[in-house]
Amino acid sequence: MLLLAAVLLAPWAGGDRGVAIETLLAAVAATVFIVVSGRWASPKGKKARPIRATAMISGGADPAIGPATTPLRTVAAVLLALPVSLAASVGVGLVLAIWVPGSQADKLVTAAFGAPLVMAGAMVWTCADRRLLRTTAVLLAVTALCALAVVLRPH
Amino acid sequence: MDAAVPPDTASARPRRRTSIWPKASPAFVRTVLSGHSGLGLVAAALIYIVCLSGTVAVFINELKLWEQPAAPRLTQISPHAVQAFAEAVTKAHPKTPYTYIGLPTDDVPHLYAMIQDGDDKVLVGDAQGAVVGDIAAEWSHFIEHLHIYLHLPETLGLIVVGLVGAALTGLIVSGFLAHPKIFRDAFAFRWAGARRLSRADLHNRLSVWGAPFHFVVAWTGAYIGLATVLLFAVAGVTAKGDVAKVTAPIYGVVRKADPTPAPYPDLVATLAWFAPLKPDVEPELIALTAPGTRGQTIEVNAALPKRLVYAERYEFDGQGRMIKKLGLSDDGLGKQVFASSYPLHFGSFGGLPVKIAYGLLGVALCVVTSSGVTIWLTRRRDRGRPAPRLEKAWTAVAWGAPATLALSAVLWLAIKAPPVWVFWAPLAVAVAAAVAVKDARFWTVGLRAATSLALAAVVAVHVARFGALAFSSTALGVNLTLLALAVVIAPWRRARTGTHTQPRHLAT
Repeated sequence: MLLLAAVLLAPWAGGDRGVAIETLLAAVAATVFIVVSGRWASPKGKKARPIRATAMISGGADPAIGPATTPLRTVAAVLLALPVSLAASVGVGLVLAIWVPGSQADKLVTAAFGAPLVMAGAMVWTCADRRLLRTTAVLLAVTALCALAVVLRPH
Repeated sequence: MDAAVPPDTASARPRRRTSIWPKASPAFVRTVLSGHSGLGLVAAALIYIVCLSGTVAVFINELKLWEQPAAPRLTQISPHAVQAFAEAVTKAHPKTPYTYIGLPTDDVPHLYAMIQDGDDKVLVGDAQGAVVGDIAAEWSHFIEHLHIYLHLPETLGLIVVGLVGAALTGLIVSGFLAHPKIFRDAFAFRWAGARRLSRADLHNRLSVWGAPFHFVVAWTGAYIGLATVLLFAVAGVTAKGDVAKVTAPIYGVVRKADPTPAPYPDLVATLAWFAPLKPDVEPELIALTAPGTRGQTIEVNAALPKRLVYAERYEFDGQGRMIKKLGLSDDGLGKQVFASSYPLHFGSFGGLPVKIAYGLLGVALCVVTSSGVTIWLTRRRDRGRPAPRLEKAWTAVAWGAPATLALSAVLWLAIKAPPVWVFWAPLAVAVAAAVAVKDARFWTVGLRAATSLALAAVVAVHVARFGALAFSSTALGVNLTLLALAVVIAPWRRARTGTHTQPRHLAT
């Protein structure tokens, strides 16, 4: 769809802008279609036919038990998800800003867009993994390795 | 949060066949779902408020025009008027560290100057370049600050909102990882029936189809917020703390100040340089630093209407000769990605149609956020562990935030009550009151009614204050939209009590 958009909309809207507009239009059109075609009321007089493959299942996957099982562990999980994850993501960002090949702008932008992804992943992981020691150890190890990579940077 | 879609439903199908859909182990799905739920619950209220204010902020230029309908409108301006306006602004405010001269565009049909003289000010000019007053679009400014800083001190607020963006990015990615079969039912939406399934349908369908938009705004939002932290870190490590040196490749070099008097910049010649490049290159913003000194800088942001980048930046000397192009549109991928991220985040790359699409998908993101929490709360109740206070608190956040947002507009327009206080204080009171008394349905119905009434009141007060100007093009569009929202949000149908579709305790 993106390739098609790039080809069809390039003359009118420019390549990058055309892809963005086309993707947006597809998202809006599909959302409107879903809302319009949705089943808003139960069918009268007959049993409803399942409209999706998973409809006959009434339960659903239960989340695993997360790390926040006691107040103390909750505090630890929050600390891991915020300052510790932030330190690790900034560390990765620094490494990207220093070691990624390319121009200064390329390095900076790669770092600025890479660090939030690391932060996002670390936040989810620290909220999911029961083993607080494991998340702590990995995040601290990442931060330490990044610090080492910064120290060893080319001058 | 929870899609009510188990990972092993393939076994329940009548015939086994090779599936094209990705597989994931149940343990992995449950673990990721745990992180998705945990992070979502912790960050839900902030994500919701940032998304709600962001949805409104997409239309910030229209809201500014609506808030100040009497400000002089221009469709074009002569270079000589721009010169006269800039000189008048500099003469009246010689100590401002910068002056941004905005030229009339379709989005912002004013000749205006942004300066810092004590406070930030926006001055407007007429077609001859005379300064005719200032624009105090206080409520629009409040919306911008709510979305970008959550009304915290600016650096801290930017980081907090960046963290909210990172959390939202994580939720979007983990949502897909936790629901490997989410695309199988991408076109199935069923509102009637069991409450948790209907909310899961809503949550998952809007998530799937809004995903490109949701991911882009969350990621770019996280980037914009967390870049501050990263820049300080990079500057500290590589440039002895000099942030300007680190950002020079994308923002341009900051020239050293030299207060020795020099002729005022020739903006007529500067703008004349663009004449042969129109309409592919349209100058929109002139940034003047220390004009009338030897250290002056004259930079022009020019829009490229067929590109995603917000602008290309050109530097000129005092005589109007172009001396440098920053290269945001063509000098390497990094600069182009940087310059494209802002339009992608704010929806400013395709005029009103794109803004409307951003508005609709922004509403969808608010619904996804709200329904995610509702699903988690319903699951708890279904499992025999209801959290009634949390249910009511969430109802108060979900419907209280739009209500107090509308209330802040009413009271600002009517009596100039500070919108920051009018937004946060009643919202806090509503959450506290909801936790203490009544049930979730009472608060849902009550706060929906309050939102609807407040939106209608905004229009009434606007008309009373501005008279015929409230029916001018942009103001009329905003007012009609507000009235339509008031009609849609009003609780027309009473929730059924005691049924599985709308239980009294959880009616969000």
